[in-house]
Amino acid sequence: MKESIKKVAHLARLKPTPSAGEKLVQKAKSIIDFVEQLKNLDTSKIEATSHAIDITNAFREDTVQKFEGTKKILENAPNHYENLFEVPKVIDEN
Amino acid sequence: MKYEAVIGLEVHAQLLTKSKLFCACSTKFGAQPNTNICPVCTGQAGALPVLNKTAVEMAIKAGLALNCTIREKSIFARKNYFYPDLPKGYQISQYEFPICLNGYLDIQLNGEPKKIHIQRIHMEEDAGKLLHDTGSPDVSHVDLNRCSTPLIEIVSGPDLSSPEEAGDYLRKLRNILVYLEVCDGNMQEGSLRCDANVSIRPKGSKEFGTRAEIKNVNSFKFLESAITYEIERQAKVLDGGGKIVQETRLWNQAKGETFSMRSKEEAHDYRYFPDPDLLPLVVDQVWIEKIKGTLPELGETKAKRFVSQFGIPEYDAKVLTAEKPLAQYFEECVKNYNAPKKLSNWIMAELLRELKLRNQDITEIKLKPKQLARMVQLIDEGTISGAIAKTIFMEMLNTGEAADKIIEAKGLKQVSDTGAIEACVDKILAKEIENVQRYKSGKTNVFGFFVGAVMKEMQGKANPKIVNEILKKKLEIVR
Repeated sequence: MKESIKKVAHLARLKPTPSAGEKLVQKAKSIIDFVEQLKNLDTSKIEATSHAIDITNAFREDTVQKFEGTKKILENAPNHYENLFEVPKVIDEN
Repeated sequence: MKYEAVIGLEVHAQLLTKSKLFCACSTKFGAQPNTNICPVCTGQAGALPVLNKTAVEMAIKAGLALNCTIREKSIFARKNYFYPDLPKGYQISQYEFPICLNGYLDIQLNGEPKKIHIQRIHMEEDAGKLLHDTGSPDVSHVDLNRCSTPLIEIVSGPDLSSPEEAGDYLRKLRNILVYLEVCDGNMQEGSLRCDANVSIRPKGSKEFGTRAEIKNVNSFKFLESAITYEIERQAKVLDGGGKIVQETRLWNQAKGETFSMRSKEEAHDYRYFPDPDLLPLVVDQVWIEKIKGTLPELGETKAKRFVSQFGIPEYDAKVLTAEKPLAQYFEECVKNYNAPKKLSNWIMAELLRELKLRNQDITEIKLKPKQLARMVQLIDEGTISGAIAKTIFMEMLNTGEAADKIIEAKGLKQVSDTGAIEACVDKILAKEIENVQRYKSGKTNVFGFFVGAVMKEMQGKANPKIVNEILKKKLEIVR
């Protein structure tokens, strides 16, 4: 369990302190135990739910509408350079 | 070689919609960075995606043309990973329930047909564009214009066994998508991208070897070179007693080799789950039938029809149908003047050569099919000679003027007036006494020289048939 929490934390870019991590393990355990109860039900004849509401097909037509606040989106980012977002380099090119 | 290659391709095709997959931002290529972005495609809190109906129809079109089953109910899923070109922290894609599955595409190599299985086609949104060349070793720049433009990913089975087969498959696939008008097929601009899964195994073996994935190959040539290199590299590793590592590699065209793409990010675990922001997509039979009705005649069918309807050689038909606009151009020509083989010759020899030289597209030129057809008709009717026609052709291509007008303005009409030609022949024969002597002494091969001289004297406008006749007659007399 501890390893799983570590892995999920890493994937989510979270760095819990050791004590918080311990708490998370306990909480995750109780959640998983709770969900485990579902195993006792026979779900073989039930279709998997992929959405909470029972409706389908919400579409938009293919038309363009320009968003006027693009500058604000840029300014909202931690860093930007002219009209580009600026981020720490993540790829090792060699 | 003691190994055989097993190759599968994953092709990403950008759909030709006007707006993005889940928002109304424009998908236009080449706009100023970050001008086609909005709260939805940049992942602002609370913004909600709504599915583009046209994108769905295009995906279904591709599925039908590739002989797929269209799934009645498909679901969008979140593929979770962190990367700066993905502002939401997940890509909306399809996972367990893609929209199309189980299709195939027939390729042909050395005359042998081969069925390539298409496992699935799913819809997804594209990521943004990372620019690493910023002048700083520590930062990258991000343009999110491309983020959330609609893609379909077409996944082939591991059925391809050589670089040439992979190339042929990709060419066929591109041709179909372009004919369907669901993708512009432009590999340079990235509207069509290809990842190749390559592994090798001892010949005859049933088990697959460990594969390497070569990412983002953006031309047919690079695809074939990259696969060729990769097969040799893996063979060398195995021969040296080594093991193939499952990894992602990139193709370096300058060095002519693939190299391992090491990312500082590790451990991909996408944790797919159904996207709660999007409702299930349901496609009923009525909708499918309606889309089926809009499917155009595809390149292969068109080529076969050109052979049977117009009686042109298979080779011509293949060249003419390689691109839909070219096929339309040819057909429009034939509609205006029913001389398919002659028109095909002009298009294949002269027109395509000029387009290549000028780096132009058939849709951009001033010369209209009707005008080209008329020019060929004028040759057939003897109004202009074939030689003069080349001059007229270039003029038409440059100016968009009609052949008749050019002929009139430049006085290029073919001279079939026997009197005028006779006078010219007399003049030449009088001047070329030595050559006439030679002809008399039996060296009849100077005949061609006389024809050339007369044509030159008459600025190429003389009817060559009449020139020949008169020359023959006159030379017989002197002999």
